[in-house]
Amino acid sequence: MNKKLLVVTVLMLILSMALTACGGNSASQGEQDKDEIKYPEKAITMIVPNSPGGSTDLLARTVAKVAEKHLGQPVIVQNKPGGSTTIGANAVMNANPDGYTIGSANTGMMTSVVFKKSDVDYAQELEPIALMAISPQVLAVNSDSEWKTVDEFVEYAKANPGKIKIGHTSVGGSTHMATALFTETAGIEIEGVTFDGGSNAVAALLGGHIQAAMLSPVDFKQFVESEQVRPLAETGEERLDDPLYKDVPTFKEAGYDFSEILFQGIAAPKGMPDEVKAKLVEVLEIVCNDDEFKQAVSDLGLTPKYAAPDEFKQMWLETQEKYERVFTELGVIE
Amino acid sequence: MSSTVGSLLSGLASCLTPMNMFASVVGVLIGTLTGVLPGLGITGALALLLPASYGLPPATAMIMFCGVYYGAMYGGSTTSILVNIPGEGASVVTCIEGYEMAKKGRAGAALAVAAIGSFIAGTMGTIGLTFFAPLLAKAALAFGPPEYFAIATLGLILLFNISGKSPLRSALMVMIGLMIGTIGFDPMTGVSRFTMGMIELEDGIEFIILTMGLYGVGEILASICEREERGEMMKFKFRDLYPNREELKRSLPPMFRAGILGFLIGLIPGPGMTISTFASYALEKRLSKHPEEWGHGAIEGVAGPESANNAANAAQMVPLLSLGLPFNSSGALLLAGFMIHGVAPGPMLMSTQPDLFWAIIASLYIGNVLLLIINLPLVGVFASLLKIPIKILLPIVMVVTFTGAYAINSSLFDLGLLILFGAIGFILKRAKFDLAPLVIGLFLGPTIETGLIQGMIISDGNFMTLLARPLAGTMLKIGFAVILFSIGRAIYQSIKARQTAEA
Repeated sequence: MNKKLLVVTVLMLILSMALTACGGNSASQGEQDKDEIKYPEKAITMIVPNSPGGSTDLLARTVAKVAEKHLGQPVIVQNKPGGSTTIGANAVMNANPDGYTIGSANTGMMTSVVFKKSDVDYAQELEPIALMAISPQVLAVNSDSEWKTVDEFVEYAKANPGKIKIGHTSVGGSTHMATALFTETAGIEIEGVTFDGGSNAVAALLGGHIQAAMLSPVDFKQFVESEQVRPLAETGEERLDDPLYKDVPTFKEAGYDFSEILFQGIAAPKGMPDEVKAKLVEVLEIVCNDDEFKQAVSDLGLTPKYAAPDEFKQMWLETQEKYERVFTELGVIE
Repeated sequence: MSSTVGSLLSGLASCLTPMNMFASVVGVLIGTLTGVLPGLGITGALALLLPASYGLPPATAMIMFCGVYYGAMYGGSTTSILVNIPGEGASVVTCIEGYEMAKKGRAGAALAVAAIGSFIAGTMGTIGLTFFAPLLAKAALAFGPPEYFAIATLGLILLFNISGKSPLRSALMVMIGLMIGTIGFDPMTGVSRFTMGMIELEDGIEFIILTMGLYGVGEILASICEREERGEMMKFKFRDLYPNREELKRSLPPMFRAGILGFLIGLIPGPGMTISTFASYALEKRLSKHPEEWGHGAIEGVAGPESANNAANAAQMVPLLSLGLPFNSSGALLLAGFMIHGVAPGPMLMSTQPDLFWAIIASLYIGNVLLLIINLPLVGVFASLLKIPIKILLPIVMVVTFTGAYAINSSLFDLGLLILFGAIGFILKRAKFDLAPLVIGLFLGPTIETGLIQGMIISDGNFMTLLARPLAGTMLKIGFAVILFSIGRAIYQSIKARQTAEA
């Protein structure tokens, strides 16, 4: 009897806890000062829609660190991962547009929109502030292989359809897009293998389990240096500055007319006061030209590149359109 | 060989500067702390440290990162033993025997054995890393997706009935674990599975939330119902905090075995660290001279797994340092830490920056010694926590659990999940279901799935090609043989039982 009572009590306890968790998620993010705007007067929160440690997170932390110098207020990075970046993106979108909540915006957000994971079009519903960094993708093969140029690679692929297996990372992401654009433009048939992270794909390439990989330059870097991996071409508009990659042609130079660039930028909720937005834009431009920032970004394997809000938004929209078109044609999305 | 020792000694010398020693102490302290606090893991701690380390010289920063990386593995067992809450996957199996020991007043012994075992196996792993890294790294590359699939499948077959109770119940729990592992978007096609339209489930269920709920919250709820079992307050003398001679003697062989086993399993990418603990548990249980004690606080069941995960931890540095390829998420973060300091670990590091390379390796030895020195006195402190009356201790533990769970993603949804899994854990516990198989299923499921799909693409959709690969084929055949053998033995035993009943 007594025992039964206990069990019931415990179950009641669980239920009451569940209720507590469900209720109360009202945001109260600081008050807005309408009369006179002195910005920033307190710490700024930067929401990162990814887990700590990835390149998006590290870039955001670099931006935060350098921006502090120029803003005179701390910038606190808060990770809100989950839902293929939609949770973090929604948090930015729904935040008070007072300039004290901003967020990182990157190519990853495209995936959730294109795949209809979210009803929100973030390119429209967020306020793009600045483009901070870009990165192309690189097509590389094992150094043991016979292919020295993209043309040789394509020739083999045409003669042996489906035989080449090419590794890339997340479905619907930039490396997948680059692979899709390449196969489409070259008119070849190669099998894509999705890997969980660039390292796993490189390991499979080095081990000879796959014949090629389309990954970011940083994933291959040291293997290019040790000559275990041979880069054939990269998907950017222009060649990379890195001495290791300066002899690697872009696909356009090699005669395949496409490009795919991963971008990393900063966005804010819509409806900020003009002065606040102007201040943010101004500071982020300074940050992007700061030598400390440039060095840190290069160390992360990205190329620092600034673009003003309008230009950034244009790029975001165009990329999203491209993703929708290519992945629909490919049958990845319905 | 002798040149390796020479380089190592010069590495040691460069580690022993006051600055670097200080960095190492700070690193291992932070690591221990993140290990002790459930929820906060290596990943979170390193992410916070990365930007703070910009100003440090590369070697100093690397030494600090490695300290955190190693330290977290030491602290992980603490909450498992004291309050049955595993701080990460690699401490789940420690709960089984460790918590039973704590209930019997031997928490101090369990904690001390875990620390000593971590030191022994961690050092063994580091020795393996020092002398065989380039060789092992090459071997690891021979493992492609089909091999991961095969080895994970074999692991599932060998480990699913780890508790040795009802195979049917264990199989059921493994199935549930496998199913939970599929929640979220399919990594191959991008299709959402079992998310019921909740975007929070898109990326799957955070593993640590699940274990904290099932084990931690479930345990707290269960102990409210079982309060009479655990007495009012634990009384023990200070001397009783540390293992006695008998306990030490029984723990040493498992530690050394786990050192080797953990190192080998740790070379496998992905969940190697967690799987090594389960494998060590299974091995020690089979070898034990005291089979009746298992499930009731067998010290070998703490010594083995807790040692294995440290050796595995060292093994995961092998691909990271010699190939520059991290095989798990904390390794990926460590790599990020190296990179922001302009250090690219990999085939070139040993020849281009030998000083740095050997300083890092030497710091691993120093880190292990420091961790032992720090952790042994802490045993007394932690074990004394159990002197706190349970009605005060458990609410505090509950608060810490919820805080830790929230801190991972700052998400209220996760707290909801925590409560849900707490309730499930409570019910399963009352129904006498074993939770370990569920964790095994959850951990191995995704590896099996991606390995199979990638393997099938690589072999043009022909399963026979998979079987023809020497490594993968052999492992799959062994797995198949184990299943046949188990079925055969079960039939044989039931026939024999019937005969004795008739006779």
